[in-house]
Amino acid sequence: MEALISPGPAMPAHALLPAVNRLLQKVEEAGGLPVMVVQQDDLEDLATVRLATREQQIHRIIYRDAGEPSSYHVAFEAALLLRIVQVPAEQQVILHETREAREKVISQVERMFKGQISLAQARSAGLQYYDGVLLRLRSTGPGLWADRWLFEQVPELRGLQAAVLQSQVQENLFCLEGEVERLTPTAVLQATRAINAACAFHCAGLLGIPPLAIPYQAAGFETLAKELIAITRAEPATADPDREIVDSWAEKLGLSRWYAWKTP
Amino acid sequence: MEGTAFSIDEASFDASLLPDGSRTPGSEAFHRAVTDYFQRLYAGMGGHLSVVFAAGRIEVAWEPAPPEPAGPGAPAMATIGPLLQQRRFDEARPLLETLLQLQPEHPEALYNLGVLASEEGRLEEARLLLRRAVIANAPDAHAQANAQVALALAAMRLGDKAEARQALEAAIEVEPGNSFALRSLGRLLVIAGAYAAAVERFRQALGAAPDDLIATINLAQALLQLDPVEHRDESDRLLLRVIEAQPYGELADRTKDLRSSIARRDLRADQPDGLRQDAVSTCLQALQLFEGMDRQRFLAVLSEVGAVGQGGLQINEPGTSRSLKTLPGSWSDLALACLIHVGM
Repeated sequence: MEALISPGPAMPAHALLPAVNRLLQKVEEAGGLPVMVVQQDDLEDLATVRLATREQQIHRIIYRDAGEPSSYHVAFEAALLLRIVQVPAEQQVILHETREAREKVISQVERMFKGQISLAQARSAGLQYYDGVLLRLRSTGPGLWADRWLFEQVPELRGLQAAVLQSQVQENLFCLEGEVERLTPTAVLQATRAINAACAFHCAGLLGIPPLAIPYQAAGFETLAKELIAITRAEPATADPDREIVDSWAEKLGLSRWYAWKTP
Repeated sequence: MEGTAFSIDEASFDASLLPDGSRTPGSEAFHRAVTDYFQRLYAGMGGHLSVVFAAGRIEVAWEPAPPEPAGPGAPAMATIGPLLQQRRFDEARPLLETLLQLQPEHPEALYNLGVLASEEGRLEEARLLLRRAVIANAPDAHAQANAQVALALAAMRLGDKAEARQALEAAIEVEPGNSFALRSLGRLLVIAGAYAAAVERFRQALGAAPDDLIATINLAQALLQLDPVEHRDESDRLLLRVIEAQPYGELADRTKDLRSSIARRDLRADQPDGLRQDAVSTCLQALQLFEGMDRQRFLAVLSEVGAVGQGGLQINEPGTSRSLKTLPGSWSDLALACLIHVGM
């Protein structure tokens, strides 16, 4: 079955590298459903996967920026999707927030900015922090696995991968700034920095550029980062390796009570 | 790696990375040790590092050295080049393909993919890639000549001698000292039966690369084909040079065959109606002599006889007599020629 490509105006269909098309085909074969690739200018993230639903029997990979690196973003999402579709349907679960953890973060933000911003603004900021860290928890561990898998299985993408990963590590450095420290709830900040550190050490090793990890070594995250990376390399014990990674990461990061797994 | 800048709270710096006595944030020893730490880690990257301490924070900035002028795609080729050199083609190919997708007329990607396709027998694909490589490499005479030679090779494999010859002549035009192009054109001329022109090209190739053994043996062969009597001695000298430099392997075998053909011709020279009986019996004696001789001694004898033979052998002069260090007794030139013939 051919992967369905729906190009945006600035990115013609052929701009997706052949290796990515082959990967999409592989996902379709493994999952038994078509995959559509869509460009969407106003997407908040670089790329994301929308899983097929009962009503819409099609998986969608949505990416934001037209241009060369999109091939890697799409391939990355396809690699993640490939893992997801291989989990038996009856075991598939989705990560959900827990009210208690969410409210805890919100109230922490309210306390931090008491008298400086309105309660509604504090609530909105708290929600963003909470959702943000859950998203990083859900995606980063499996993402490190996907990076490594693509590096090994789709070497055509290595050039793009190197550029994309280095750029991500650079962007993440902002999180070490003092200003961020003053504005972010401690638990969120520490978890985010540890996740960023894992990314940096992972990229340093994968791309053979050790200096990428220097800021996080200096900031004392080396041991934790390496433990997180090791989790993504462990042989899975269940049919849902992503869930295993997320749960183990949550334990290391002190986030185990921040979410619950639920069936779709 | 691109430049980077980040900031860490002094208090959160991992003090275990610093020597004892320099772990107190804010102290001069701490600042010195932290600076040393970053300088050590970024040292291998070159460029410029700045470590500044302000308001309890460590501000680090590193900038790479300005890049040397390079063509588009140079960073990628820096990665691919070593793979090609190590003949890790399966790893290099996808990277080259990616590079070509990003830069469809990338000169090195076109050339290397073309050569790979040619080596792997995808000859039409190779020809198309290499035609593009010739155009893309136009600014660099050496690179363009190499692309022309590779195109010629692919064309030759396809049996298209016309394009092969055209490409080789174009290569020589842009780079007159390209010994590989000269040598290849010489081979093509030999195939076409144009021996005199081939000899000329092989001589030019050797002028550009005097140690090129393939050009040497090709020149010897072309000379023999052009006129085996007139060029007999020069050919034999050239072949001896090859066998001295390359005593084993395919090249050596080919050289020995050619020298045998010279020896056979020598033996038949004055006997248009058949073999010389004296030569036949001398060859039989040489066979008996070599039989049972260990390899080391055999090679010693052969190389000495070969060296003596370099000065020319008067096989039709019955009175000649020479002595050898490696064999007792005296030897006629005919006997030496037989030793060479049988030994080779």
